[in-house]
Amino acid sequence: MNCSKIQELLLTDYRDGFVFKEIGIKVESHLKNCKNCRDFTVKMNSAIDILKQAGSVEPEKEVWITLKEKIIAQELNKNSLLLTFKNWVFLFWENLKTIRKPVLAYGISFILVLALIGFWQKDIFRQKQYALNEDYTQFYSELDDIAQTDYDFGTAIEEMLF
Amino acid sequence: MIEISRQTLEKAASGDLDAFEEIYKAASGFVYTLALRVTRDAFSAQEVTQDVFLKVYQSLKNFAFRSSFKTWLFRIAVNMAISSCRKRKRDRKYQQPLDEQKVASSLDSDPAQKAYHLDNEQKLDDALKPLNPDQRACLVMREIQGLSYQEIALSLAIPINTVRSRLKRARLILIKGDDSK
Repeated sequence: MNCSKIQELLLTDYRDGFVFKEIGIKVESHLKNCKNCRDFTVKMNSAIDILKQAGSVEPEKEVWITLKEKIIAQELNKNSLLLTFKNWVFLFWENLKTIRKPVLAYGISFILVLALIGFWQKDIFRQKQYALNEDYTQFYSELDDIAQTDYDFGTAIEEMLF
Repeated sequence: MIEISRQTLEKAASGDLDAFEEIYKAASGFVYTLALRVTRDAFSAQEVTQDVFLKVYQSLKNFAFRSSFKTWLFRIAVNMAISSCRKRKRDRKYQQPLDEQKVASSLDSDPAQKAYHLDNEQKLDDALKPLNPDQRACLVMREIQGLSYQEIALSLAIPINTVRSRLKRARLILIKGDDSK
């Protein structure tokens, strides 16, 4: 194996320990006899050591705090519609409780009366409509009766015309 | 990354925030490191970390355990880090010098160690600068997380040979950068 091939292995599989044993032995025997490749290995190790020495870095505590806040905000937002409805019902109930009882009773009675009138008016309108329909039916049936009788012009003028 | 049990994942999927915090504690180091190295910006890395875990929280109920959680998380993290990097490239005005950024470290309490740490960070940032986001992602997954080529390939949805060639190019660029100093 020449230096180019050895250096390629030094940069990848040999350095990372992914070579077969026989190839490893060949690389090591080449390194014993080749100063150029030995220098290359030293340079490579020193260049990569900076990264290795830096190692793993932990994020600051604020990152988790902010992340947690974001998650909670997101969850709240997800349930906001439901919460808004619940809050509205709760507030309505609380406000209802603050109204004095006689006022509340009058209020409820007034709403009930209004509802009854509305219902009654609706019933009256329905009855009127029914009566009107009956009148129309009677009128048309009378017209039919006239049409079915023998043809009679009724007046002298009509007799003269036809 | 610490292993996360299926029970914890299922609890988190049903909306248990404590179980989700457990997942966050186990995986946030990996996600943040990957985002930090790919974007080369601490603020963007924090944003990416939050976005990744928010996405995980939303999608966990749909996770069917057909693939490993680790691979699934890595894929989300890599995609978001790379897309944030590209977005930032289009809008460079938000980029700040490294010394103004907060790079979280347990060593930062001691001023001397803080200075040493910042110096190392600057060196690392200079070394990663010539690499593209895909190469940075591959390098971080291999060198810091110790993932195999297959795991990287699965996370990035690319063939193993592409992983190999990206790592080769990235390492060559690092050596050349080191040579020029």
